[in-house]
Amino acid sequence: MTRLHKQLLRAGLALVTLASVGLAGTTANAATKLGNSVPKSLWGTWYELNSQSGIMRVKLTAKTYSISKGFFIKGKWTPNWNGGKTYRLGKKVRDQKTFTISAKNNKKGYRTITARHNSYSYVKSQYKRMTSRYSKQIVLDHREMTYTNKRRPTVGDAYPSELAQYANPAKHFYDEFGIGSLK
Amino acid sequence: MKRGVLISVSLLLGALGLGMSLPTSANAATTIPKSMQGTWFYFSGDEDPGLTRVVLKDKTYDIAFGTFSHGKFVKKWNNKQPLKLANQLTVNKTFTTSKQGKKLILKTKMADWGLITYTYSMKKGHLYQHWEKYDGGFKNAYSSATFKYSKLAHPDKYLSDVYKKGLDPRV
Repeated sequence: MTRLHKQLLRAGLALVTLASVGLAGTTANAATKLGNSVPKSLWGTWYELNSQSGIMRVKLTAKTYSISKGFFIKGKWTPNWNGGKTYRLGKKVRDQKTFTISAKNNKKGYRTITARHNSYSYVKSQYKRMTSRYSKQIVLDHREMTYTNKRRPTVGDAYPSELAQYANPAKHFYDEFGIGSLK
Repeated sequence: MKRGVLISVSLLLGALGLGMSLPTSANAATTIPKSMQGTWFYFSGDEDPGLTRVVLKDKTYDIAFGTFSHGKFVKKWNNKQPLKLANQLTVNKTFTTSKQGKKLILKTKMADWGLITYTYSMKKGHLYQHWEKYDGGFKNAYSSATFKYSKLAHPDKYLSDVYKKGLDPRV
């Protein structure tokens, strides 16, 4: 897929997202039952290169979720955002403490995790384990929307990204792209 | 987020690309055009809240992601001194430039990202940025989407209005 295709697709998605958010924002809470654990298919430590401020890292276990951004400097994960914060699964979303997960996958197979990284916004992230659109590897497909406390999305863009697992992530990002440094 | 496009490039292609980029470096040390100089902001709306700030002066370049504290910009990513224009890249210290028509090609080498090639252009008073992580010595390339930067009179107020008042973030 060329970049133009992607941008067109993204523009289309943005419109669809903006149009559907109004509905979802009001009905989601009542309609979504919450789960008691994170499904096993999502467990693991997943990485992706998708931001200017670094590599995104998502860690999921049965009852915990952590998300941060940073680089591997001298082989060590060095976050510049949200480092060291682990949220625990709960029935309510508490700022930087607890997250919730939907009890079932949606029609497209995604689980929704809701979390707060600050007092003035919250984030709904959809995750699904699948085969990559671009390669044969198993990835964690990820769509994220950030909302203000008034349930307004901060941008109209929920284009999916893919996170992957690596035996040696520091080496992967250095060998493939020349990012960061090794021990 | 999710605006990146991963492109696999063979080592051979990488080597070709490096060869092709050599002629432009002959024009190195082009100072930053007047129209691009100033302080520019980009809001991604990502779950990590903040603004990407680019400060361009005729011979310095500063790019960082951060938020505001008491009206002052606090860097979270790339908390470093501005880079200085030079003919050679020094890690975390200098950047190089060249021209491609009206576009400015700017290269940096940071300890975290390694070599990055930015393309800056102007359109209707906005600064447009595209960047590539592309180094002949490595197996893959990463190409970003194009980001639109704006000059904001009160960037701290803008950011707080987006979250607290529900302001439409599009400038």
